[in-house]
Amino acid sequence: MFCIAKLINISKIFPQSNVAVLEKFNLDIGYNESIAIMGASGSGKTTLLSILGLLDSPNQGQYFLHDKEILQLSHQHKAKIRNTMFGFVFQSHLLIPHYTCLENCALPLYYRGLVPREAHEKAESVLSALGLQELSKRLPHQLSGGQQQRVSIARAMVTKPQILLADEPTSALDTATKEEVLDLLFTLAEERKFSLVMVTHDQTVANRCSRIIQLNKQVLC
Amino acid sequence: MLIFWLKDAFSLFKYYRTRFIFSLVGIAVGVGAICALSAVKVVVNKNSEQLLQKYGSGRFVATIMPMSAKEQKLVEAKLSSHAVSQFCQDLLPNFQVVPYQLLNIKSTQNSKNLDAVTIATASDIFSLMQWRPIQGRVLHPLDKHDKVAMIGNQVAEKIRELSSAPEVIGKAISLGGHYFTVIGILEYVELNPLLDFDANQSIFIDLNLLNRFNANTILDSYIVEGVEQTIPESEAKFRDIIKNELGVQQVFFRDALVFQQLLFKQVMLTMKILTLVAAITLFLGILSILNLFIILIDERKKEIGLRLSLGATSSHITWQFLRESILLSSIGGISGIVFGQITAYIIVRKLEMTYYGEWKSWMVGFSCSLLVGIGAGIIPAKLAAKLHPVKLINS
Repeated sequence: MFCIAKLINISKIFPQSNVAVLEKFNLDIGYNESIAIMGASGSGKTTLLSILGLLDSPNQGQYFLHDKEILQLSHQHKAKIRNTMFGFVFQSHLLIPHYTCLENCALPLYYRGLVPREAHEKAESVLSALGLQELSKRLPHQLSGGQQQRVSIARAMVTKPQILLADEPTSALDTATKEEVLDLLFTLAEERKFSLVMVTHDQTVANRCSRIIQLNKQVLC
Repeated sequence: MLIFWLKDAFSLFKYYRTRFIFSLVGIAVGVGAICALSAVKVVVNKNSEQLLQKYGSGRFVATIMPMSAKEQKLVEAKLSSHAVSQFCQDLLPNFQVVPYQLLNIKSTQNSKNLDAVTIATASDIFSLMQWRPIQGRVLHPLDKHDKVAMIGNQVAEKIRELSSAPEVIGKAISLGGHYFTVIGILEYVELNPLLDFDANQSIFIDLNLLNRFNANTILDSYIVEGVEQTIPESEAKFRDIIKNELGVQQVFFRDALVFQQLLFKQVMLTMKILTLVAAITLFLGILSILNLFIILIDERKKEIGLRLSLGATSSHITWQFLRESILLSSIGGISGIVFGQITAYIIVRKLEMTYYGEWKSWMVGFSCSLLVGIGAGIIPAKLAAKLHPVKLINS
């Protein structure tokens, strides 16, 4: 399978507690692959996701994206990669409270340098594709939890990412909404051909992925 | 893009409106005070410029005061009534000089007091001051040995009252026991703060008649019109001439610049209060924005983390916070400019001066608000940009 991202011997130690959350960890992310990352609390799931999304740096190891080592890149370059290659969906959906759904959805495009009108047009089309067009002018507090998560998925989709990183995207939702959101995520992954890396505690959610990675508990250095 | 930034900031202000309102009021009052201060200064300057133009921009009154016997001797030789005309002639063309002397003598008509000031002067005073007769004629150099007088219109009115006759020209008035014939009446002359007399209540006689009153025949006051660019330059040059020609060190000047000082003196207390208000409220405004944005960083940690995860760089975050701070202070600044102009208008009207809306004071106010925005926004902006995205998202 064509490999998009590759982690080699990644170690992450938190200096304050001297705890290694990841030790010589290896991972290949294939094209259009869905990976579930599971493990006990503190096993480094979110840390791994942060390293994959270039939000955090490991202490050791290499990270290849399209066969290019990217850990040594500048902050600005990493920000550009985050904007163009990755989509993020967080547990608490993280929508900016004073922005409308449309503006929240267009946010990554502002950082891509698009003029607001163009960014809004693109965001509008993604919201429409996800059946959320009637929510576009509403503020986040006017939406239900499921609607908020759908808007955050739309925001992740707007940049046409190659890898979508989702940190427990359904843990705050009820069962019915959870299924709907998961259906949406997997359908989009299939249609838009992006790889999905999802942190979850839920085995049924993990079972929907093509691969499950179990992280072990952290060890003291 | 600017419209987008404005909308972006407005949506934030709307969301946190109760917190922003205090900062806005602080900046508005501070900027308003600065703006009012600047506007009052401009108005005072403009009013004094008008006064300068009105009373002659290069004109001043000099009083020559000999302080020693040696100085007195030279002054007596050159500035006594029979010699002063030549002295004034010699100062041409650099200075047009008209001497005058206020006489402490009683002026009566039919033994009734006229309550007028008698002034011995050269006939040039009327052309220099552009005083025209309403009736009769003004003094002439040929009148130097004739006991004739030109009178102000209020003196003429008094004579009419006392004599119960409308005709004043040709009437005899007594000045210190000497009878003078009225040859002309001055038109109404606006009070000139440069002069130490009111022309409307004065009686003018030729300076050559000074010796008739056993008075001091030295002319000590001079209306001077210089050709130099500024009044101080003219005064300095005149002082040098007096020093070189007469050896007199002490020359006092009264000029239109005094009006400016007087006007500024009038508004000094107001300006001090405005400065104090501006300093305190702007300082509080800066602290308030600084504090507000530092608190907002804490509240908006997740938002900053989210922005970073979506591709924002630290400079994007710095600019985001700085932009919000500048826009907030600008809104406060614009409100302050309006508030300041209204305050300045009230102050100026109370001082009975003419109000001018002046863009310079608006610019001063707006620049201050921008500086407050940058000053108070830069620290929170830099703090926000330094934060770690993972810690922010998980906060």
